[in-house]
Amino acid sequence: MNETPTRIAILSGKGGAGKTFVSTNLAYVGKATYIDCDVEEPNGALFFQTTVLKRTPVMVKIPQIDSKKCTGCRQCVSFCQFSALAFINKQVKVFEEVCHSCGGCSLVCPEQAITEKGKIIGWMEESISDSVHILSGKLNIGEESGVPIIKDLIHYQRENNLEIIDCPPGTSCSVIEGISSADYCIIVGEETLYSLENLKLVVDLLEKMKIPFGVVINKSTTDESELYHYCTTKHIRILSRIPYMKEYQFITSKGELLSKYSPSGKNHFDSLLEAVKEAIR
Amino acid sequence: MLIAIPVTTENYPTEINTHLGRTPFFLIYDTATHESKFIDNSSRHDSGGVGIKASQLLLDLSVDALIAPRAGMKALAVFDEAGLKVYQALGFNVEENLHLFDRNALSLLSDGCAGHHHE
Repeated sequence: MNETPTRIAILSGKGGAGKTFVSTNLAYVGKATYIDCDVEEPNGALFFQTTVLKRTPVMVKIPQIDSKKCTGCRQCVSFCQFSALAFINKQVKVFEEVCHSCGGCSLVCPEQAITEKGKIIGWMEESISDSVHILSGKLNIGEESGVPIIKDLIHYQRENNLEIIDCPPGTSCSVIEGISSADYCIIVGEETLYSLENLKLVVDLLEKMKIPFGVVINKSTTDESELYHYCTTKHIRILSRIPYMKEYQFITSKGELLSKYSPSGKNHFDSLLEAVKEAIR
Repeated sequence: MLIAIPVTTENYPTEINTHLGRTPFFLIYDTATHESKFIDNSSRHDSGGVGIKASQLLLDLSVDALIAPRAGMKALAVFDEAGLKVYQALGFNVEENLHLFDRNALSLLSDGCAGHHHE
């Protein structure tokens, strides 16, 4: 399969709305590659019985100062937007965990005293379960940014014509990296005002990035929610409404896939996948 | 000897501020002349690395000691490397703390707190 795969990214403004719930189930019914980009707390793989195939370290470049060449001009210190460099006792000290690996310090150094060295900030894990291919990223504790791991996950070579990208919550750099190559986005929302306000931020982001999207209303208890009215007024497609049901919560809370154990649950995701495919077409 | 204290205002009367990196001002007190200077902490609104920036500011002012309620691990690393002593403030009263410092009644701050994440 050499054709470009269809990439569907799952987002939500707030955490706990059901991104991983929707992503894992959608990946299961679509026999897709599931990509967990929530690298600060990846948990999607827990829903699958997995066998790990490969673990790859994710490296970034951080500056290394040659103190013999350094004249103490401090151009690198003033250049760094993240304050990863400090000038102490006539020497430049590097705070590795704050560094964003932009490489700017080595460019501005007039003495060529700064070179770059590799540093492991986390891991990428590839695994399989019965029908789903899983890629997860994990950021080491204490590291500032998971973006390089998400980049590696997105650009990792694999063979599948459907990819489900489980994004971190919010609208930060890591989310933008996750959706950068998506063909379509699904925003998962709850019927609370808090969820709605956060969802509006995601809508703004996707409109700016010009990526088509629709909304899944999760844990739904009413036909007349503020979220529903917001979507209809804004002409945002509501792809699915997953009801708040004890059976669904029970299955999910045991770490099981709803679409594997509940026929009605599976129906939601079969039709969601159809709705998305139709929207992309 | 120059002593720095993170403070809430740029004039007296003032109070000690709890956040080293995001304090609006630093009071620089000269124990020899008993003079006070208020310095603007201009990097306080940066998105990150404010503890390191603020520590750098104090190093560049040739401060000898800092009195603060707490400090982050990265700021402490800067001070440690520079040989600048950090004392644990008691309460929020500036004059009282300077007085305690004078009588050697303040203890050194040893443990740094992990960074606060402001999303």
